[in-house]
Amino acid sequence: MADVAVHAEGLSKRYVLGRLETGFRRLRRMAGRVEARGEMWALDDVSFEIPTGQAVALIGPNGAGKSTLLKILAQVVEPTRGWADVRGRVGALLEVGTGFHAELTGRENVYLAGTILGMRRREIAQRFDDIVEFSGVQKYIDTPVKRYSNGMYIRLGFAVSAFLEPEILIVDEVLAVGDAEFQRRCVGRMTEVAKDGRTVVFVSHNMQPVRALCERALLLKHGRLVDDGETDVIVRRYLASLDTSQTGIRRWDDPLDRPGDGTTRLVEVRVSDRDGEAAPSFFSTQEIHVSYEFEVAVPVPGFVAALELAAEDGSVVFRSYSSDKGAAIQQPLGPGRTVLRCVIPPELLNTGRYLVNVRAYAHGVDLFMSEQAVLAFDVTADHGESFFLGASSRPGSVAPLLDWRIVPPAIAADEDAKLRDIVAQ
Amino acid sequence: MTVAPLPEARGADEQARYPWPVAVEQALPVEHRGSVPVRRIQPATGLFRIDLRELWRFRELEVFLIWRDIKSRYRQTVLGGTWAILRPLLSTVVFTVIFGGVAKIKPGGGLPYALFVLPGVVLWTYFSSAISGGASSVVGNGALVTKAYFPRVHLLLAAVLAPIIDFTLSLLVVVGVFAWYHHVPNWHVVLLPVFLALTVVFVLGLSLWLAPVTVRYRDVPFALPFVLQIWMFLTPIVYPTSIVPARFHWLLSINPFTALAAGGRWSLVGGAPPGAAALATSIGLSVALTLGGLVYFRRREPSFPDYL
Repeated sequence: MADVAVHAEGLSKRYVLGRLETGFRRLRRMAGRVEARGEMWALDDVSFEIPTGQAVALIGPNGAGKSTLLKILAQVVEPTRGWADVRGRVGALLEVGTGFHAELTGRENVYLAGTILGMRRREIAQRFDDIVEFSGVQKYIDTPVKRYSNGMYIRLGFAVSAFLEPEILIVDEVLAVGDAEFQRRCVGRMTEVAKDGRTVVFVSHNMQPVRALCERALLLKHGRLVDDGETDVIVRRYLASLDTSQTGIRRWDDPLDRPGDGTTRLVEVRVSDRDGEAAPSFFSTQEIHVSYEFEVAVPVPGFVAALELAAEDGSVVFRSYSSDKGAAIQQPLGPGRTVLRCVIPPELLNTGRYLVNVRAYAHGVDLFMSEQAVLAFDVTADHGESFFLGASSRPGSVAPLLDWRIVPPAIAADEDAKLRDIVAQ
Repeated sequence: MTVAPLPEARGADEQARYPWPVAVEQALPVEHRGSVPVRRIQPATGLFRIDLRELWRFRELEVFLIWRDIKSRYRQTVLGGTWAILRPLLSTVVFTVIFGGVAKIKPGGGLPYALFVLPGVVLWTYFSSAISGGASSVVGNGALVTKAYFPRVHLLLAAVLAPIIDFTLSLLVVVGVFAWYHHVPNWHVVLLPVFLALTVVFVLGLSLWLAPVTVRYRDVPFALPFVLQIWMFLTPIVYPTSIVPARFHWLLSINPFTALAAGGRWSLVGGAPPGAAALATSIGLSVALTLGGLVYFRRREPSFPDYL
């Protein structure tokens, strides 16, 4: 058994639904005045083994029990039933900046957070310079972190955890924050950790890092382990199984089912053409209008929504934020219903099926939702001259029209020289 | 956004590099790593679940939590740590004016009222801030409790231990007032740490019960200040036991803080020593609260994340 890092047997976790029972309510329930509360098994009899050195992804829809399982392995939550044996020190990264205290400086927080994450003071001292260098906040390391920008805070927070060197690393969706450059470094660092022979358990909604990092995936649904195997196979099966009703509209009528948290929930997502007619398929010469309808309970300052378009295999084609062109929508939203709409321009997408991922944030404060594949639509490319519709397909998710021309070699050399001149000035 | 990397300027200034006191660094033991241990995660069973080895494993965290509490407490205040001195000083002045001056309470034995009231005030100031901190120690660290693993008792312990620093600073007030009245304490003063320790155990015991209750019912932080205020006036701190009618003496004797306040006063300014029976009751109750509290706290601990 020396080569098994994690061995879980019948892990289960039960949650009581609704408001937590107070003593008074319990009395009333025992007196028969109030009904007993429902319960929910967030995790139901999950068993698996992870060999030492394997990188495993947990995937599945929201509410499948991925986070609960991570929290049990991280010992933050105790299982209701079952057990798990973990071999070696567990480093859990459930959030970026765990243990940071706003009033303390960056330097102080590195030590505090490192200790909370289970590092020895001596280890932190050894890695301190690496941590600071990785975070890129050298200049501000003796400034209280409350004065940090959101990006700096996240970078320092991840840097501390990145140099945690446990035998088993548990990571939950931290890559959802930070800019692209930083995300790339995070994935790079985690790949290093995995190559180092350490065991990695990773949860992400984004299938790209999952596929890049993990050789094996466990698929959870409704708290049960339903599939287990090679990442590419499991991811494909998972995406294929998603409910992508072919109407161009996805609506949540039951308020309790709506994605999001108490303050902001998603009511409807629709893809439609220029006339507002919802449709499941488009030609690439059409504009594709994507609309989100949110229900907002309290005004949200700095509200940002994002459209993420993914190809059928889950790889992201692009992500667009409502704030990309300025802060027009970054103002308090609500309360009430709000519709956000954007247009995917024509002559961009290739033939294929596209998935809509919805994300919504309070800028720098909170991620309200990250819903994968809420909707699918098909595109048939018919823009440009050389497309043979349906007859042949070209690779790639996008098929932009680029300018091509023939340039005689002499003129090409001349143009290059001119360009060099421009660059030189 | 890019931040230009700083040239390697660090290394010389050790003080800036290690932001904790040197004494703490020396107190920390060398890391030792054996073979890779296997840990079983499962629903906790049994009544007494205290894992002392696990508590010890996270000893550095305890040091850092105390240090965090101390460092962050007076940040962004003008007076900073001076508040630790000002609070008991101002209380003493107020009590001296109202109870000594206006109400003309005579402590007896020719003791000036300020001297009489000071030890109790200092000890009570520790008690009330430690109990408030202890009760909300888990709730106040909700973000940690739901995101990182470590024995939660450390949060509570840090909240109870950190105000000892304030207590130590407030002894400057004691020295100052003693100088003002030309009072020189006798050898009893060496017993002051004993009474402080008893108070710490008492606070620990109470907090172990209050903290889990606070997680569940957030009413506690609202109710606690009133309870503490009433409790203080039910304890012979601002008045001597002698002015309390005999038929109420039972009330004083069941109050565990009576013996602690009397002990603190006796060790610093003299007067009647705490009764043996009262002291025994107080110690017995503290120990019982602490042991029972440890069991209760550990039983409630798994449910903390559900309520935070």
